[in-house]
Amino acid sequence: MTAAVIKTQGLEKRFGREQVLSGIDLHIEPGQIVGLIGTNGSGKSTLIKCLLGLLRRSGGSSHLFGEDSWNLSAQAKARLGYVSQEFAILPWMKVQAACDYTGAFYEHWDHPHVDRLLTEWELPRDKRVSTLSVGQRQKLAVILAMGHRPELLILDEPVASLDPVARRQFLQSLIEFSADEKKTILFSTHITSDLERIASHVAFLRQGLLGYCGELDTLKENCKRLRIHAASPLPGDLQIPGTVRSEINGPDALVTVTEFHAETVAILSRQWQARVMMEDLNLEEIFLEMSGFAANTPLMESTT
Amino acid sequence: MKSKLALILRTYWTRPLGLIPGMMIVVLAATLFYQGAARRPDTSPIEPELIHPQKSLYVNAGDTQASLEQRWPAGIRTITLTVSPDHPLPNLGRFSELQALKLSAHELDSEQFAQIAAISKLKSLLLHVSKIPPGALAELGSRLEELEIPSFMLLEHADELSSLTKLRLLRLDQTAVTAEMFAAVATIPNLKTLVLPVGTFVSVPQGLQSQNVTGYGELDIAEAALQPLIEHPHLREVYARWSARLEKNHSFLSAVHAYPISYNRHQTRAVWLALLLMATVAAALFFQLAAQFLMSTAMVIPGYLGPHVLAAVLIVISGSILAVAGMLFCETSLLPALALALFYPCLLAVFVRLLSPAPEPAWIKRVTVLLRKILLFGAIWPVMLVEAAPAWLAGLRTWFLAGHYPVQAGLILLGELVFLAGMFRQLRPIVLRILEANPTLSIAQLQLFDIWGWRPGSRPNQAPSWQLGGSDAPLTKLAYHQGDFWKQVALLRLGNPYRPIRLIGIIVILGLLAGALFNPNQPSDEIMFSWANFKGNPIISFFLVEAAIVGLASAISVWFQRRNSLKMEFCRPVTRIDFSRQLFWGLALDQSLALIPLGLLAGYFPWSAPALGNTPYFYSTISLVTAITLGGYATGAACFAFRRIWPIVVLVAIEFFAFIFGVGFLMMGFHAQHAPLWLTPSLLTLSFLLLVIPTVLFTIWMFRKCWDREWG
Repeated sequence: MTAAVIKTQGLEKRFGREQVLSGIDLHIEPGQIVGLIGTNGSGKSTLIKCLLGLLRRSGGSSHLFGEDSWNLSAQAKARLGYVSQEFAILPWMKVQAACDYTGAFYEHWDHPHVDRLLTEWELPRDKRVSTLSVGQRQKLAVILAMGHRPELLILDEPVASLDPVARRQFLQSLIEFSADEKKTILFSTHITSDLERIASHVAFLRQGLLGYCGELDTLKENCKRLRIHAASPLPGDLQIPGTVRSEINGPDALVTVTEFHAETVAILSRQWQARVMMEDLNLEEIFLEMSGFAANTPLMESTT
Repeated sequence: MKSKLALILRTYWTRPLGLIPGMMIVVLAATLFYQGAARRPDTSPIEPELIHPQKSLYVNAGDTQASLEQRWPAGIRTITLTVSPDHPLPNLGRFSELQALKLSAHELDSEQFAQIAAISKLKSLLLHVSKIPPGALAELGSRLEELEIPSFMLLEHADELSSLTKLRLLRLDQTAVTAEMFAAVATIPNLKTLVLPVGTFVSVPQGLQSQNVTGYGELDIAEAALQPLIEHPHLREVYARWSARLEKNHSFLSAVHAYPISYNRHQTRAVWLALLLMATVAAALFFQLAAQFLMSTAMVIPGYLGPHVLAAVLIVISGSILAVAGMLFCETSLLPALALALFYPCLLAVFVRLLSPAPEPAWIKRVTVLLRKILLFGAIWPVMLVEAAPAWLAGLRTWFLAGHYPVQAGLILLGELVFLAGMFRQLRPIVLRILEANPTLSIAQLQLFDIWGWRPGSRPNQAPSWQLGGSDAPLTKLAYHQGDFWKQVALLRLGNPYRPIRLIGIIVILGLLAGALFNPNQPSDEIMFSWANFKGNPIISFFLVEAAIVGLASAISVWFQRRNSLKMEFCRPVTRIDFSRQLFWGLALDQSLALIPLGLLAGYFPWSAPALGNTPYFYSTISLVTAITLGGYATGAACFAFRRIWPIVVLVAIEFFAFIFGVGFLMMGFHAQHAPLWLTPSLLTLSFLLLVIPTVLFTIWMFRKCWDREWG
């Protein structure tokens, strides 16, 4: 088994009496691109800050590259790139100066790579950071985080302010970045369509609890919506393994499951003389179903 | 409207940043009213001098020549000498640089006076003697610029006075002055300043045409007796104790300015406190208005402006009532009290107008920026002038506070009201122009301590002059320094737009210039450049202290402004402890530049008065500089140790006041000799040195907190 790049066990974080993270067990191996999805206030940024040692954990353990997050060595940090939500960059510096200045702190700063990204992302080199738009500043923050070719890139909602073109460019750069098998990315986002394009793994966070953490493909294979039309009325307590939500109306039922098996369709067809249609869910729908937020929307309505 | 107003007024004291000035206002108001309630007679003399003899070398006739030569440097310029009949006059010949001599003796014989006459560079002679040999004044006549003699000598040596061709200042002492004496004074050809004895009460009784003694030590002088002075071609000012009637018409001498010989220290202190109080009110108002208006929503919400402006007006009115009442308690007239109370709110109004980017040509913008800088750092100068004003200004101040300039006070008041009304009326367009220039501007970006900083309305890409000398040149030298701690610190410091040498240098140069032009005891309003003014000049001390404060505060300010990006910078390849060390050394190096003016101050005292070179005063200064620097550093490091803003602000405010009081005590002892008796230099030294221990412990605590802090 490969050594984990990120490993937490029972990670907890409290702000005063408020419990923000509860027993987070996360295991991210080299080469994984992990998307962290959660609602506002679910603890995504807090989790990232605990991983980076920006916040002190209240309980459990947290390790990056095998080192305690709170006391990371300079060597470990040299392998790390981080883009914060606020992307605070020294406002008085010009774009080129900000790149050179940041580069001076790293032994292996890839100037040609940074130059190429500045050109591709159309960032004006002689403009001061304070005069850049929010999106431009976000682009610069991403470039600064990638300039030293880190092994682990942690991005806290990096595309929130980017236009569609910039988002495409950003995702392309992440794909290039992750072409090397050793590169690992953890990024939180609300835009699940982006995540679907590049993530190998996803982690769902809700109210400080980790709901799911695993491969994206496996998740999508396991999460299905079943549209059932039976010969006779279905029972109200229709038992299907892994059901997260079901709506039964006489002989018709719509059921969302997270542990889908091909046999399930056969069993249902046989047991209720039903015609079962299986529908794929996109990541956003999976997230909504698993986080329970879809429960507020009638299933029949939401699928029509 | 009332409920809205109450809500807005609540915002003034619910913010931690608003509470600090609030507490200061309460303390200042309490002190102000205590001043009024105490009402002790506290008259201080106004002492016009050409050559300031303070802290001169004190020599007793008992000092032997050997001890003189052993103890005192030959280059000394001022000496205070007391001669008793039992001892001969010490040989002053070795003091070849001597310029001022204050001599107390029973009488001087020809031989003794010949010794004095032999001092080639003597310009100022203060004689407290009952008799001098005939022809003595004539002998010194071509050299003396300043002379103090008992007034009766005017008549005894009347025929010699015309030979005092260089004499500019004559101070009469001990006895009352008669009309004949004025006639004698009028024969001094180039006299510019006349100082009458404190005991002489100059009044002009109705219908009285001749002198008449009215009481012990007081003399009424007929108006006609002053005629020779009025007709004197060069006389510019007469310092005296004027009668109430003449006070009301103090320009009676027409071409000659009449100034009082003393001022009410109680009243001056009340004015000083009232000005500080109103400066605090203005500062609180500025921060609150900036917080309330520097956001786009402020311009969108209907009815937002009215109640906020009304609340601000109420704050100004309340503060002014406090200040005016305090000053009235201390016998200040109403009109000047009102004008003084509104002085700082008016400065605020001007400052706010200057914040608004002007659409005018570039040169007007530059002037605007310059004016803003002068306002920001010069705002404290009027407060200084209350305490350390030149003699002529102290005289004017006394007349002004007594209400003798009602028209001028009224015009000042009117101007202030116009400026204030203008600011409140124009607040909306001003804020709109500021937001237009920088929509995301916050109060932190105003960079109040960075006078070379924020320029509203400047072109976005224009390199402001303060940043890296107008270019990014220093950043071209960037390079990775593996494991080199100090180069890492230097690299971290490069991230701050902070070039303090220019900032501190300009203030020091301004101070030296002001010091050269204005001596605190300067008798005349004539601006005269003189190297002699550099010595013992509180104006220079004040500017050095201000440069030090600005140096300390701006270093803290730039690191404080960087706190947001430090979160990102923490993720660079550096350990937690090394990051903390780098920050602490970065601040220490920046603040060490504030040591330059403090070091100059420490050297200025003994240079200014060589007699202090080996006294505890010198060591007090050194220990104060050490304690202040360490204290400033310890509290400044709070910007790394705490995430919340209010502990940082509270600690820096405490340090600021400790600084002001510490330096104030020291300067009080040095310049004015008003220090309480218990405040001995040894006690000062000991106290300041004792302060070093807690500040070092405090710094260690700050470091541990920084090391252990959460940056997220």
